[in-house]
Amino acid sequence: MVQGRTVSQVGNGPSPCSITSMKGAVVLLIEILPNTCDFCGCCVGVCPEDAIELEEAHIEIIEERCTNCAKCVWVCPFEVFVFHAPGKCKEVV
Amino acid sequence: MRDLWDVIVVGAGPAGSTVARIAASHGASVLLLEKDRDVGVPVRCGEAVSNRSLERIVEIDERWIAATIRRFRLVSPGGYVVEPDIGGFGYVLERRIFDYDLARLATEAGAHVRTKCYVNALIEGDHGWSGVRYSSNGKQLEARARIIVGADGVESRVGKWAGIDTTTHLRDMETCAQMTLSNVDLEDDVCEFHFGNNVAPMGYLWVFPKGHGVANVGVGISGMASKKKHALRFLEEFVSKRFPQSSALTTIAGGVPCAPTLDTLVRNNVVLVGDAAHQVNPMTGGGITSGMLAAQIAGEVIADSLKRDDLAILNDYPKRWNKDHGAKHRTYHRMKTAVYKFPDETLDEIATNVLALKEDKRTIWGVFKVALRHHPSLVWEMVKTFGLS
Repeated sequence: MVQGRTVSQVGNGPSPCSITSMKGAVVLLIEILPNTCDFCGCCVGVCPEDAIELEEAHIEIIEERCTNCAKCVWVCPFEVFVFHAPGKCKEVV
Repeated sequence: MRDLWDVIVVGAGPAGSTVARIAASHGASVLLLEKDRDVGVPVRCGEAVSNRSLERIVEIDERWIAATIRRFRLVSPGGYVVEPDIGGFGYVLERRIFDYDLARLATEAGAHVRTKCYVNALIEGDHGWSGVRYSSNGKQLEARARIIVGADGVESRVGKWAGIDTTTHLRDMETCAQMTLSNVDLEDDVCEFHFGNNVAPMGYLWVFPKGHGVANVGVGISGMASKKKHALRFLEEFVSKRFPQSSALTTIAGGVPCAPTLDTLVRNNVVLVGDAAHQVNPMTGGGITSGMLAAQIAGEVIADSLKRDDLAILNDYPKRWNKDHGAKHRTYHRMKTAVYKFPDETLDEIATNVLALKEDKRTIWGVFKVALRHHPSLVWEMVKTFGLS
């Protein structure tokens, strides 16, 4: 199983905009706010890339698959996801 | 631990437990895997069903019933209240007990249940997939089967792994928040439905009584509407105004795929049922009995396929489902899409027109007929589906 990494797991490091991918892959712009998810599966249902692992009480974005489409951000009933718009970061690939 | 089965069912909701029960009762060896530690918990559901739909599938146990519903109360955006005759009655269930019992009935029929088993992949085989990989208590395990059933709910990942596009379009995903409130003053036989852009855009808000001053109060809105304001916000606003004295015993999130049934329900030896197959009634968002009905068909077809050792028989399941229910659901979906576009003023107008009808004409069908005047193309859909004019 491919293990993903959420921005929230990056900790208090640089903002998502400044996280640059070493491989030129899409940089994850979606953050899961800690301790807010109810694990309902709504986001998994709309995710076109199968990029979310959701166990009984654990949620994780599979960074390698996520395309930042933000459907999870919009659909979540509890506002668990935050989309960090690239803003002035021009180098997001 | 035995790990070779005729059937593995992923997900022990009502559809998963029903397909397991039916297949096992026909002699199949069935393993039912549930990711949560407890079947039936948490309850992500308004819990309302019609008695007629439920009693067609399973013998009803009175312990499952929290309240018996005899009236609907539809509240328009401007506050017009319509109480159509529902021509029967319904129940608000105790899903904790209901789901538990359905899993128990599956085990009594011979199925084996394992909880805390998170399925994370299918294992490729010579003819489709030979089993599933799952994690349980920190261990990565495998189980093999001739047929794999995805009853994994709104997430519907088993289907994706089998090559079926199960993704729900954002517009069709009803994103829901519900509180089970105590200390509410309600009539115990009335289900309320509230409509309007300020209450539940592209969806509705429900108040379903459960007896003893308890009610499920929830909001379901389209994922498109949720872009601006999320479901929980709508719910909190309504509850603070309408039930300021209440306490929330449970606050829960959920997603309901209010879409037409998937075009592909069977691929090789993988079969999808319930929410995972988009078998929810797209108009009402009710998925308990329609999922169980599909599961009943799937269970019978799977048993037949195993007995005759012919996977091609599995294709009888989509044929039987689509003939009646699948076709209706496609129409309901078109109707829902049309009703979504009604502005609040139209909904108020429909309500006032219904109120102008004689009391004996104020049926659910009467409400529809009035609504149809606002969208004449719906008439043809109704005629095709119900043979009515």
